[in-house]
Amino acid sequence: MSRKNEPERIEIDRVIHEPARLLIVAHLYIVESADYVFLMQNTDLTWGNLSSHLSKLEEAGYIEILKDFVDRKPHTMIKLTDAGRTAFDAYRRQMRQLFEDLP
Amino acid sequence: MKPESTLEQVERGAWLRIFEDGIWDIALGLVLVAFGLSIITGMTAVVTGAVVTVLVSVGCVKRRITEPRLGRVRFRDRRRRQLQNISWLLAALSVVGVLVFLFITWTAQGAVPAWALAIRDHFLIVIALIWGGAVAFGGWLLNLPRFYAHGLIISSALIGSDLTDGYSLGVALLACGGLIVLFGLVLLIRFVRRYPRQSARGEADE
Repeated sequence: MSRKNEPERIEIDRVIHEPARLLIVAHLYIVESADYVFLMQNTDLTWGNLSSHLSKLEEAGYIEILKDFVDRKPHTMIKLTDAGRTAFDAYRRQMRQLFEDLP
Repeated sequence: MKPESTLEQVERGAWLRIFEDGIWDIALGLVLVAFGLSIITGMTAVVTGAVVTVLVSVGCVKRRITEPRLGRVRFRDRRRRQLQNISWLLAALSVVGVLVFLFITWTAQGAVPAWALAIRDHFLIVIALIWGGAVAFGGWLLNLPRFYAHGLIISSALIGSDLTDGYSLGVALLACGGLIVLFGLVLLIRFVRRYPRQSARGEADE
């Protein structure tokens, strides 16, 4: 069968497209960095759920985990990497384009 | 998150939430109370120390009360610039305070123009406009409309003190400062009830 007749497939970044991870990335996009409590408060995810999604985002290279000290106690902050910001921008453009020409 | 929210609204919501605790309101109120006590008791040095302590403590109090509930977040440049602008505003207010003091001293020396005497005779109105305006301006810089009300309370108390001769400047500052502290405490109690502390593993502690 000719390859010319194959339907065009829409490639969506499935790392970001998952609803919980989309919320996480969106909240990290609007700030420079944030900790677990901030993300839990704003995404309504449980700690375990959040942790699992953050691992996937870290594996994809979209976030980095920063260890810091606050009042001599270790504190973890999460930050979108440049690759993460670029991927989110691309995802936003793609979604906008996807629905643009719909009647 | 409401489905119709935009990212900008989400960012603005996150920014405004850190001021829901009323801690800045309490700090402002305590500073005014301290100035009032300074005038009434004459213990300027002690009260200056108290004012500095209050302002320095805001960050520490926010780390103990607000951050365990809302989390720690580093906003982007635009918001950090807004906070820097507030610092400049406070510095400018301090300079204005010194200039006002020098002006009052100068007008006490005699042989000054009539306009200067008129201003000195109603300097409380000048101070009311400067302080009230500065607090309202700070509210505008930080997108906190309730600080317009604080500015109005301060201006009203000082102008009332000037026009009625019914109460002294010290009492006026105590009253408006006390009112603003009370308002801040109400906000703080509401905030603590609305946002329980989150432990490291995410379970609410209270």
